Amino acid sequence: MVNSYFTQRHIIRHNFLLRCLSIFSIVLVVCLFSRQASGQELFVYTEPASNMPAKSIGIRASNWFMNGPGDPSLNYRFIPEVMWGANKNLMLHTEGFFSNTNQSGKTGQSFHGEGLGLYGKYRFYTSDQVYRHFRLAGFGRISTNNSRIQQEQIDINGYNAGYQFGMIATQLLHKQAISSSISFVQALDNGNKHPFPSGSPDKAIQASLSTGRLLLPRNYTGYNQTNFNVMLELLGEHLVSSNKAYLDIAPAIQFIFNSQTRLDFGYRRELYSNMTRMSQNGFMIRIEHLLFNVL
Amino acid sequence: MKNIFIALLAIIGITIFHPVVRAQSNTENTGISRVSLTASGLTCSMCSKAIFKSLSKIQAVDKVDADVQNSIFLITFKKDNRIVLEELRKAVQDAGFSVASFRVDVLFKDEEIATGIDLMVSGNRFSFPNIQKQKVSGLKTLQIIDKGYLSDKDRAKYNSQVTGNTFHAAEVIYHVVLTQS
Repeated sequence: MVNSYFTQRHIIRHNFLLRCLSIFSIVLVVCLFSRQASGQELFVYTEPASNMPAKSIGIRASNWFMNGPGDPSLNYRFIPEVMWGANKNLMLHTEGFFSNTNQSGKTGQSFHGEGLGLYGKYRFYTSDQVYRHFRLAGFGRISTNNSRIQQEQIDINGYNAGYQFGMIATQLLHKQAISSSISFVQALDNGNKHPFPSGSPDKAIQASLSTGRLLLPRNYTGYNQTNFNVMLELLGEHLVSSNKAYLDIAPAIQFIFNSQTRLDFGYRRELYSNMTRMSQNGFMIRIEHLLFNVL
Repeated sequence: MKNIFIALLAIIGITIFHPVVRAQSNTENTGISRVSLTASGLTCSMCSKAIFKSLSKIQAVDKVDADVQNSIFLITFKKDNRIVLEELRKAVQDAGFSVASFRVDVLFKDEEIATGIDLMVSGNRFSFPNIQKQKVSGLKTLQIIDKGYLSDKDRAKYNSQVTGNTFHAAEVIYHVVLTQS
């Protein structure tokens, strides 16, 4: 009886997944053929293959409010980030991970630092034409984390210590931005005597597919107009040497003020998963400011 | 004796093989009045602002007028400042983008232009790969056809014309065509 219950849930999840994928595909196709709006590649949950301007510095603060069936209490993560455009092809980020998960793993009132991350992206190919481009970049990330590992999901951007490297391809085509990335992630033991659980897969392949669209302004007259963008992203992970995977959908809206300050509101939700996850659904609010010609 | 002979040979050699450079008169010089640059690879205003800031930072630049919608930047220069056109291209590339079109508005004062005659204008060396010998006066627009200054698609029609001049390898030579506008 238990078996048939889980099979039913499995089938329901699959149907939901298929429905979401078809809606996503329709949206994508509509966007591709639409010539009205301009595209945007400043994605909320992923990085595009493009770079920051050389010698500029960006400051970012991301606030994640997540929970899940495995942990209904609210998990709050705060990730401040400093980004530097070293030259026109290379950018480097450093980020800090703070959360309200206490050391035994249960979310609570304590808010503390859990780790640091370093991220680098190198754009190695670019083909520019007026209003369109195709870019390819490679990226890598290394993170520390001292929280207790309570889920099979591997995420080195706030939960696991480890390293990651991958590639991003971004196309701006007929004013529509589409981006895709693939990467390999290796989880390591977390700090503070929290090793990676033995027997659990510690390697993963992550992939993403993102699309973005500029809704406002309809015509550019200057730099002080507020830009309003809409994004839709698919984020997935497969644990190597296992049959465990998840697929999440993440719509987002974005405001850009004075062509320098950015405000993102995103919602991430699991579409399908057969691995244990603690806080996979929820909102993200981010503010970012770009300083030109600094270093 | 041997040294004098070598020196004489060198002088003769330079005189023969040195492309003719039109000297600049002191006052009322032919000079660059404005640059009109179209950037490519961008759609959003944040990207455009990055280019705007990058161009504005250049010492010789007085004002940058940005047409955000069409990615066109009109650049005017400060008086008595050394204009280096290459810096404008580098500024666009440092911002993360490319130059699709680079036009230089030049105020000509009775200049004779021809293929094989390099023209120094505001400290920048121009070469006309394929032009009928003519006298020019007044405001004319030159389009740079070198790689990095024109989209590859538009460069294709000029490929047969650009001969390349490697004599002054250390100095940048801008190969240009006189536009009709």
